[in-house]
Amino acid sequence: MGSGGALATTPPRFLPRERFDELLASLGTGGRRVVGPTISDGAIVFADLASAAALPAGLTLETSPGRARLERLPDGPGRVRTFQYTVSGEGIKRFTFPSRVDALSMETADDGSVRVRVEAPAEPVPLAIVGARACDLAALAVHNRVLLDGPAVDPDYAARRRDLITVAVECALASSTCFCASMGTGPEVTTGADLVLNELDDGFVVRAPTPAGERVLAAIDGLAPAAADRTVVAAAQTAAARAAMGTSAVPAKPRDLLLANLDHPRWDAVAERCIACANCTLACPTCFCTGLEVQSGFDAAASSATRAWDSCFTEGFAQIAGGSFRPRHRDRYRQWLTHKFATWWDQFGTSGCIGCGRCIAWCPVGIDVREELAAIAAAPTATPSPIAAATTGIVALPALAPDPLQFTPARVVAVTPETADTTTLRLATGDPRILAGTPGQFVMVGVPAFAIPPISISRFHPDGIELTIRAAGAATSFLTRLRTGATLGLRGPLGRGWPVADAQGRDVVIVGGGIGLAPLRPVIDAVLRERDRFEDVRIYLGARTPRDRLFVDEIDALASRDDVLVRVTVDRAGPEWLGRVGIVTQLFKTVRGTGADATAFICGPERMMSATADVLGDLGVPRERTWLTLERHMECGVGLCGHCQLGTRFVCRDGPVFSIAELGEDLRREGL
Amino acid sequence: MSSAHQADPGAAPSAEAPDPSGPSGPVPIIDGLPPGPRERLLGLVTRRELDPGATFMHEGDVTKSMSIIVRGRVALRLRVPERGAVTILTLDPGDIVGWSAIVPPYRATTSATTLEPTELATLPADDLRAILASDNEVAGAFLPRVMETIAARVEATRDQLLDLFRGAEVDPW
Repeated sequence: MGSGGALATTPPRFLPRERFDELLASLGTGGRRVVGPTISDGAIVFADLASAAALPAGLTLETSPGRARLERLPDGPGRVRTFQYTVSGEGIKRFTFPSRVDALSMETADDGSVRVRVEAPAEPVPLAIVGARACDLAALAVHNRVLLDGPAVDPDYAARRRDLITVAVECALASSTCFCASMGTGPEVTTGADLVLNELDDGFVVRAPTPAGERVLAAIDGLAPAAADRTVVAAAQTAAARAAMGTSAVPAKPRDLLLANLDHPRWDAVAERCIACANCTLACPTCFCTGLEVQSGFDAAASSATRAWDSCFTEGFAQIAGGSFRPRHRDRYRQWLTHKFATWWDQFGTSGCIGCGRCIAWCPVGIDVREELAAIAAAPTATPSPIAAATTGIVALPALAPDPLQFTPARVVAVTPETADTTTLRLATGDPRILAGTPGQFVMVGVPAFAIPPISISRFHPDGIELTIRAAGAATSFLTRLRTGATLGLRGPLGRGWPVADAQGRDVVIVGGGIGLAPLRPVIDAVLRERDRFEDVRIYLGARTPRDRLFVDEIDALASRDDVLVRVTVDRAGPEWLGRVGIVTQLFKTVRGTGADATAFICGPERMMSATADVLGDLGVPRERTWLTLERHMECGVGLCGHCQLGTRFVCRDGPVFSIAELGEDLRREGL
Repeated sequence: MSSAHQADPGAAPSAEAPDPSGPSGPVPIIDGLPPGPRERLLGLVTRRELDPGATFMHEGDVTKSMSIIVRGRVALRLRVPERGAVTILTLDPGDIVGWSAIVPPYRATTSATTLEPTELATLPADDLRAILASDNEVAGAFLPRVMETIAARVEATRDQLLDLFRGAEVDPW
């Protein structure tokens, strides 16, 4: 129901204007909530629709870049129309994907144990949406792909979509900001509608493409088939809307164009106008990025988290411990536009833009995406042809553990201070999903009153895992102060880990910097567990100072083995340090015998990994076997919240481990 | 302080720069030069064996020689008021110590102290400057190698300057 599919061919009926309330009554049968366009605050807003009298009769919406105004329809018979505008100020998104939903609760019980509970979505009241346009339904189809079709499913969205009836209106006119015909999403309603209306002066031609729509119509007594002259007029209106828009508002193959022009000067030009207000993302019916907001009482014993719309235009969206990956407006605008028109294809096999034009009308400075695309197309700085086909993500995604959004309890059974700011927690858990994790995977760690950070697993045990945590912010500082016996919630394991098995039969080079050794430790464990399956094993480690080295005793023990080479360097040291001082690449730049037969695993600050990959490349290590793990802002860990995008990828879902060959230029591109 | 990192037990010899083969053994860098310049520079080389803890170059002093490390490890140190000696870089076999011997004002920019038993192949500053000034073949072969060293130091210093491993000041978690 509601998802439409191919439109069937039941004959169109005619609904006289004065009987529109009968349609609303039929939709409202059984307590179904009916919403539709109404006038509020000088705008057209979807709200509960008690009767046809609340529809925006006699009004239209004039839109242009940076402008949306309600205007009276001109005098004449058409002035009685109620859908004689194009897109409402906001779409129907907030009914299927509300701006805020309860996500989870965390509490500390009297016995001290912590419980993290994911809120089961409230079973929503069945809903009917009246007045959705072709673009709105195209946006709904995009959300279905993103939020329903996996690999992870948004449970709240799934619940809201379960019993939804959509009554679409085919546009009889086009605004200057409309370009659905260029995006292939309208103005004809071809999918996603249970009923399709074409408004005429005296009523509506109604089609029922789905059984659900047919049932709604069947409950209205005595609807006659629409006469041919009415259906002809209806079709002509839609055709006129199409003609008014044209079909070339967007350059051909915008994906290839944008991906080839990530360094185009136009990004700087648009950034001079963009104020990063996030209006475009709020108005956009397909934007789906969300963040978790944690609310807590003063005693911090219990907290709840709300999933709220977020925007890639905000300062904190791409924030990680070391800073923001997109500090400039240019970076954020480029991210948004390239996501909509380019990388959405890679991630979801569809365009992220459906051509409604809301972002144009509601941009306070009137930035027009069509104009930005055209400017780049008119003077591309690179040939747009050689970009690889969009094949990542949706084709070869790693399977997610069942219920990837559910937390499992774990208890701290040992605490090992590593450095002044870094602590290793050994956690006991019987959850087979966590125990079946692989090196390089991570978990989300929940304790009441704090944000939920992603932490790499630093060791696997038969009965639990270890997490090595640096106190960088409030949540991680709290975690490093936990004591034996404390409990917390774990969600995972998440992400694609290191391909350790693929390194069998080859030399192994492991390069770690700072806290970056933590995700590499399970690699070392795995390699040493089956040492004879690997050739030479060389481990090169960097730290800020001697006191900042991790796992010192373990590394010392490793260094005393005769089947592993260990080299350690620090950035600075006092005279008491007799080991090496200098950057980590100095440890192996002159090493011979590292080359084409090696597999490399690298983790550390991105600049260190990039420099390391360069030196290893010079030594002959193939890019396809030079692996590193990226850090990005992550909140969901399953590709649903949108924060961790890097070009065509979600780092949490498609990584965090990538090969240099996979990343290509994206590793070094600033602001991506 | 760990001792295990000092001598790198477990090091695979085949993976490292060449081991010394005695007082008249190979000299990194110079051995890789064309025959003429190689012989003329080797004619200037004297070899020194130093115990751990020997400071053979002092920050600010006139640099009397340039050395190539044949074996061992050398710390380059700066003296910082109230912090004492800070090691800013350690050098391994094949590295040059004392490039300031040929770059005005010919004063050492750091001190150099051995951390292990160390063998140096040493070129006296006066002789080296003289041959670089008079022998274009030697200068053309040898100077690029010295510049590689200086460039690598500059690059490494930049990365250290970034303090990449420092904890974050702002953090969402």
